[in-house]
Amino acid sequence: MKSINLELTKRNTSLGKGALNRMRKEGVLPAVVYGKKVGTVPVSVVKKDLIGILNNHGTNAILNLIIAGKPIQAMIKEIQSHPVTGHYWHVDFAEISLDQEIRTEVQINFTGEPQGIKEGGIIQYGDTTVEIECLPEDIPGSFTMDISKLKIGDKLTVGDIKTENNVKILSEPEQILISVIPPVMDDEDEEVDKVDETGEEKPEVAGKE
Amino acid sequence: MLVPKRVKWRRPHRGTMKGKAQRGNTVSYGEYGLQSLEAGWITNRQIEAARIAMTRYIKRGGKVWIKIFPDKPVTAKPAETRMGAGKGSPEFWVAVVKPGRIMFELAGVPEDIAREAFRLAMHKLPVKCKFVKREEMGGDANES
Repeated sequence: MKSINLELTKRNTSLGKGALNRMRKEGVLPAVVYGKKVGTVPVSVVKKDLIGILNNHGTNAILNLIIAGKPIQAMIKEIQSHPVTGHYWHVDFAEISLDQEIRTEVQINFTGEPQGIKEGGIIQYGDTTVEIECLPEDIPGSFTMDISKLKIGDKLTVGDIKTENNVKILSEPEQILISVIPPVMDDEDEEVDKVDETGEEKPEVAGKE
Repeated sequence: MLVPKRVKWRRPHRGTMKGKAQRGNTVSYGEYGLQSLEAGWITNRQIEAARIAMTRYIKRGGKVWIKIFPDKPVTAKPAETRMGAGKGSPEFWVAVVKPGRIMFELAGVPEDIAREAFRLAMHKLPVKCKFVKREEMGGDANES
């Protein structure tokens, strides 16, 4: 995996929420870098640069952060985004050492259209990321899984992911990633409607009023 | 209609609806979602009306997930009653929704049908809503 340069500037933490929001409007995101050697450093990053890295290299790229001329090897630990707009809000960078194994989450991409869809089935997504442990240089960009052979009732789990020997998957092997469920019949819906018309049930009260 | 099986308290306080949805703000099961843009109380009748509007429109082939549950009882006093004499009796159940919350999800239908189904459902709900797609979550990722 390549290392990518990203320039960061130190940030004054005593400015408060208003200053941070003004900064975000100007296209600069607040961020923090932390690690054993570097400690905790509040920084800011140009949003355009960050988006460029995410689009081209994904979230698991090894970054060469340059803070006041000093390089630090790090990775993105967390990206917080706004719950409504989805705009990026804050970034955490964690310092890494290339000879030490780290834990991270890797995206799973699905290719093809399942056979079950042509028979009327519906795709139900489960987890779309999987937790792995390996050396930073061995982290795959993403796992790609072929779902074209899935029939109705079939599913893919974490156990179906094929990895290289140096990548250890930490997520439970039974965890479902994607499944093809049978189509919902019209009668099922009508049955629900009939039950609803039969009046309200009164819930049991556990505590005192 | 959706009603809890067992509750700890019959007449809870009304509470406040501060902030945004910190959880349940991503499309997790289906392909499309209906996201709330305001905070509000959604009653079990409204949830049911929205569900019926959606399922009747998509007919068969699609699946609807309801991601909110009306677990909060709301009390009311009878009409023309003098004040006092204790709190009223539970009248209906609501789900507390904050901006960003994905209330319904849909899968197994083309996008235009999902959009129309959610448009019909939006008319049954007391909050402003927005149609979201699975890949659209995290808006900045699509900016370049």
